[in-house]
Amino acid sequence: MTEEDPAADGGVAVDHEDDHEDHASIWPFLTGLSSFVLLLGLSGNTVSDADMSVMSYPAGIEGLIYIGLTVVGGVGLVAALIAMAAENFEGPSGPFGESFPFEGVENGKVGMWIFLASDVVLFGAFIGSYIFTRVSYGWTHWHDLVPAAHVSLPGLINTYLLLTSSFTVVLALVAIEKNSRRGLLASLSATFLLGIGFLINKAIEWNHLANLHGGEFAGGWWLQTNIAASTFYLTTGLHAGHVIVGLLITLYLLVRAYRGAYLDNDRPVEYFGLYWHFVDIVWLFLFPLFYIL
Amino acid sequence: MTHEKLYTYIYVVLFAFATLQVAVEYAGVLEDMYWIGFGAIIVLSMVKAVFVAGYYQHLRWEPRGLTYVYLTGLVAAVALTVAAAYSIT
Amino acid sequence: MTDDDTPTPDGGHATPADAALEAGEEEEHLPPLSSIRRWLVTTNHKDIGILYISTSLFFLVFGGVLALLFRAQLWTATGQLLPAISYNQAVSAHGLLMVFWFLSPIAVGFGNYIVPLQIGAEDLAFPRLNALSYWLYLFSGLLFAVSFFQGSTWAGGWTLYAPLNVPTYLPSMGASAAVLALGMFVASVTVGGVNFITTIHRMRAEGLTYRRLPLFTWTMLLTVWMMLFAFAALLAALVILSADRLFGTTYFATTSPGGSLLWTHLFWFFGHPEVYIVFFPALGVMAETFQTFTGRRIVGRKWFIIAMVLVALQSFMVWMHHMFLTSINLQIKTLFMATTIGISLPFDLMVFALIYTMLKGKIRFTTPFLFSFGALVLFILGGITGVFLGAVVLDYSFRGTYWVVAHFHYVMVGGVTALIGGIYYWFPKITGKMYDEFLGKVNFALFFVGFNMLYFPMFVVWQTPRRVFEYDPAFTPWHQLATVGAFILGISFLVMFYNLLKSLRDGADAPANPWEYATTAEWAVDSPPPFENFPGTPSYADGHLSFRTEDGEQHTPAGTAADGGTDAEATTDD
Repeated sequence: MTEEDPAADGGVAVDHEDDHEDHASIWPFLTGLSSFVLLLGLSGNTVSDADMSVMSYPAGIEGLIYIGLTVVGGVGLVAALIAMAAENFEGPSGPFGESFPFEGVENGKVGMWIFLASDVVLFGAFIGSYIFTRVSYGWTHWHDLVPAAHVSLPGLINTYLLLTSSFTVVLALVAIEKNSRRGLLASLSATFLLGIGFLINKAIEWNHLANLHGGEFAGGWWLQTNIAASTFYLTTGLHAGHVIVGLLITLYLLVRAYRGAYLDNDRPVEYFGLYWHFVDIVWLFLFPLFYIL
Repeated sequence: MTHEKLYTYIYVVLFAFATLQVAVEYAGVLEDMYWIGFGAIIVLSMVKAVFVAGYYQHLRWEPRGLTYVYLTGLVAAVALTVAAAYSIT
Repeated sequence: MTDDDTPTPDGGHATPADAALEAGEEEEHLPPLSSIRRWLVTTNHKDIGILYISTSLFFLVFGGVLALLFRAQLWTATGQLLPAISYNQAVSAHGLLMVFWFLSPIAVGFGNYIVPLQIGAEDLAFPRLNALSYWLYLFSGLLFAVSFFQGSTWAGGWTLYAPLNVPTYLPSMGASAAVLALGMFVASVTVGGVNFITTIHRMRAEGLTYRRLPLFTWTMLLTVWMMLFAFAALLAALVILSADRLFGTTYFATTSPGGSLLWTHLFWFFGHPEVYIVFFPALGVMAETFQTFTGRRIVGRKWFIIAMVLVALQSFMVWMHHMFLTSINLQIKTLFMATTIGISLPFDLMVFALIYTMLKGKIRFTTPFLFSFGALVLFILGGITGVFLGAVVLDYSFRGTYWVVAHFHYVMVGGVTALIGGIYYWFPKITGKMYDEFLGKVNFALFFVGFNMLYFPMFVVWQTPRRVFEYDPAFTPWHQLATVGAFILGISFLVMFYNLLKSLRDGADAPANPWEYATTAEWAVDSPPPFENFPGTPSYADGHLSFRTEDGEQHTPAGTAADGGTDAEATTDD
């Protein structure tokens, strides 16, 4: 088999004579190692009462070492994960004896849904933290902590962008069903561009809020200004982090789709879609909670 | 109706509901009757979420077990939020 | 193997003889067990189980040595062995290491090794994710170890309470690294949880319904479900704390509205299910060893399973009993006192079921059973003392004192007792060697004596405040007794390590099933099991275990039953 032969992720390995499972992979070890390096580097960014900003690495050599660890760890982590995704590896695929209550779906889909359920609790706890803090402060007094410049329009635009990108992911699966490589590439590209648009729109909005000139928040409304800022930026920031991860995956899928993958096996695109729709659903709640109400 | 038509239909509904939420704000409902406006907006979000989950995430046609897994996470998060918020009233 | 293109079930082989050949072929794709590379690239559940178990024992020693340090300081009422900030680190790190880096991983290690064997699967659903969850665990532990050298590690208690947890009070980078390490550990748990849940639900052998599932697998299933949701809440708390520590957000600052209470809600919503997460696998070991060494199926098996499921659900509804002394309102405190009483009920049922199983069976006091029986005794004592803590009015006195410390060590280390029983129980299966029974009994004797010498005095001097190294001098003899007990307990672990290592080298070869009356599927295969586990596709369609092969042959090992009962017991009460 050559590189041009389309093989879906995890497809049958090249040089086995029969279909049996693979058993060896170095990527889990390297993922763990690079995560260690990344987090060790990040620990260097601890704020102090004197310096509460986003970048608070210490001065001098110590800071440089920590920054270096962060960068090397981050790059290594992304590389290891991409390598693990691209690796030909088959796990047990069934059929199995008893599978109630998950008959009729495959292991991969069940696994993705279980992961999404835990992500629901993660975001639920974040949103719950916001609600709890706001109740503690006094729900309707919260507006005192938020600049007048924080209007719903940027949030609405982001809602439109994300909804449309969910639609385009669905269209990608339809394209696969119709065996249309072109349709698949077009819809994945659209998803990617819409997601980038989401991030750019958010960056513009955040930059504007962080650099306000007049009025009550003349010094800007940024992470440390008050609790409303902290909850806003961290919750929507966590969401933006999920979007970034999704876009990296979309890019990977695009590259593979360009080489002919997924027309025979749409599962990776489907699973990505499940994740992306979940990210969209979270935004559907973040938007009213942080922009309107 | 074909799948593409259904998905397009849902997309339009989602788009409309999002716009509706902002319209509720611009109509001044939140100034006069805050909690009614709050309720309306949250309900709109929930309907949108159900559509995305049911149709885009395909749950309508998957084994029911998957929906229950998803819902369990939601119930846990909501229970924590409600109990915690109540505990400080 | 034939040219037949009918799909073979997982790991199915033509005949047992071919199976051995295939196994050799499959295992040839992996480096040999003696090479380091093997351990770096393996994705096989048995290898990863061994990695988890050995790594967790290392963290047990690490956390244990920290405890010996501060128990030494507590020899006198105004001990000065460690500087204050070091004492705080020792206490905090002891808690974190034991709860996170020892207790759950050793259970996951047994789960990894044993669960696929018990359900008839040839591996977990996602082998590489299994390896990933191990490496994330190991490296998170290493990150925590490194944090000791970055100024100081976490010194704010294993509960990481706000506002003490922000850099204003704990400014070191090591403290941030410890928080990030814990977050990495949560990632490991989540990946592992997805894997186990998918595996146990989807990959059971034909005929292995939930009702017939072995009890250890049942407890692992409930454990991983609880882990999935509880750890997600902890992750939210840790991400927020990390943002406060690394990016300057102000969720938990002293001046933030509701900050400290927010932390306690998030942490204890995780923290209470967590204590059952660490106990359930031990309970599963107890159920297995009680069945094996009394020679009968557990009494009230169906109700035992129902009770376990109830506890798992209820575990998410009691968390505010850790918050009785915060500013939450009286109505909700009363509600949570009621739910706390409620959760003790299914536990009572399980305890009675275990006791009746002993009374109705014929007991053999082997080392695994001694430890499991000891665990039951310790758990009953610890559980009773917990009931006092669940009463709001009494908790006003008990909270933050050694009553709490003694209570949770009785129940948690009671769980550890059962897990040690599990080590002895499955040692022959995993290593293919028998341990030394006499040394095992010496281990138990030292352990049980040391344990009670260490923790019982804490009930007597319960008024000693927690996490503080000055106490009323009148309590000194009791604290000294506890310190002596701590060292005896420590020595008992040395005996255990010696026993296991010596037996690994010189022990007698273990048969497939060294335990009469053990009936779960792991005992139907060799010790240690062949690479792909079974000589055919396991099936319980006939009510007992058989291995189906490609050409329709069946191979039925003697004396197995799906639910832990013996063949002879098949018709007795449930």
